Amino acid sequence: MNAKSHNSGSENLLNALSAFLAEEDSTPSTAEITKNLQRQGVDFSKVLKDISKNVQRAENRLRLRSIATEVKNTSVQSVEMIAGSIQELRERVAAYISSLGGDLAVNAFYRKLESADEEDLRSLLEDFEDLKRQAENDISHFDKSD
Amino acid sequence: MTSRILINRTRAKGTAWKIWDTYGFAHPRDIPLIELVRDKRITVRCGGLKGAEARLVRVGDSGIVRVKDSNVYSPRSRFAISHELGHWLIHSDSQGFNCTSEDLRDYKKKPQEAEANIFASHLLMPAEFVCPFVAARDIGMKTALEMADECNVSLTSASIRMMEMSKYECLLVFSRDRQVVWWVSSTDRYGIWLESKQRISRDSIAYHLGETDRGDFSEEEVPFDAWFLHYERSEVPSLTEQSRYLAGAHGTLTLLTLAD
Repeated sequence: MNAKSHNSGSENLLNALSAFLAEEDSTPSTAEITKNLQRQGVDFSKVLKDISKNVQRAENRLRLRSIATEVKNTSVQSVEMIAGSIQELRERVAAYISSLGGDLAVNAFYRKLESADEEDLRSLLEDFEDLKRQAENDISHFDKSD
Repeated sequence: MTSRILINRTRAKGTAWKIWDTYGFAHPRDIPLIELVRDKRITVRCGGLKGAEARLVRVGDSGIVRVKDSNVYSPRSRFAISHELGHWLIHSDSQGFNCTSEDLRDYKKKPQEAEANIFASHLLMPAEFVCPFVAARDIGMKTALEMADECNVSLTSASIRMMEMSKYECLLVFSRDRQVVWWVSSTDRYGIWLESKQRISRDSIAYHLGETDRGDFSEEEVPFDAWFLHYERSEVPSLTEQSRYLAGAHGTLTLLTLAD
């Protein structure tokens, strides 16, 4: 069995368990079962809470597994060189930082950058530009789905 | 009057605990850190840094963490990434952090850096794992090395975490060319300190260590003034030393333990 079919199998199982816990298909309802068990001196609510929590955790870990493939392809990248003199880099970085707002932490961050190395400035500019692109994509995606 | 911002240790530890509670990892080594930070909308990159060990930049609800090390999976990078994740989760009102290697071992001075370190330390080495691990062993470099291996962290990070568990006052010292480069202490119980760039004494073990990674982890009692030049109390505590040469860091890591 390959990793993909194993993943989708786990996903189906978790979905079914989630649906069961959310009482989508259960008859009698969990509340009725719990009430009956309580009448017989069995506290089922804590067990149910623990199971729900573990299912939620398993879903979260499964999400991390699906992120792993994406990460391998995209996120761990080395620096791309951005052209420009150090003065130009500094000005472009300063423009980005001022667009973020003027709180104290940003100012402190900027002060450190005044003496920053050229390589640090280039990579910082690259990061700002990527985050800006990402934010624009998010907005256009939001507009389309709106 | 200057206002002093306190270190919120509880918040830092609680934030790390929440991650464990959310994902329910079985063991510290199982934490898929790169995927975890991606799940928080942060991308990890390596290289392009000279003046810092790690950097976090936030624009809206997305961020980029950059680490100096070329290997994002190295123990050193894992701590740096966790540290920046700490900034991301705890200090969400700030857009950027440029963290030096000094910041990454600051547990006392700058509140934001200390909180990010406490978070990283508790994320990678949670109390549920570390407490029984350390309780079953002697406080020492061998234990720290085993813990570093179990948690996939550096010997330095593991030693600092272990010192936190010790009932004794401990100091971790890094020296190069027989000169102190940096040191951290677990508490301030004795009010002891080392001078900046202090020369390593001939009476210490560190002085005699060759450039080899091999060490038998033996602990030796050394004269108190072999390390501490400034101590005004009449009764001098006993001092034991363990030192190990770290080839990768081109220096010697020393664990000093004081006892009455």
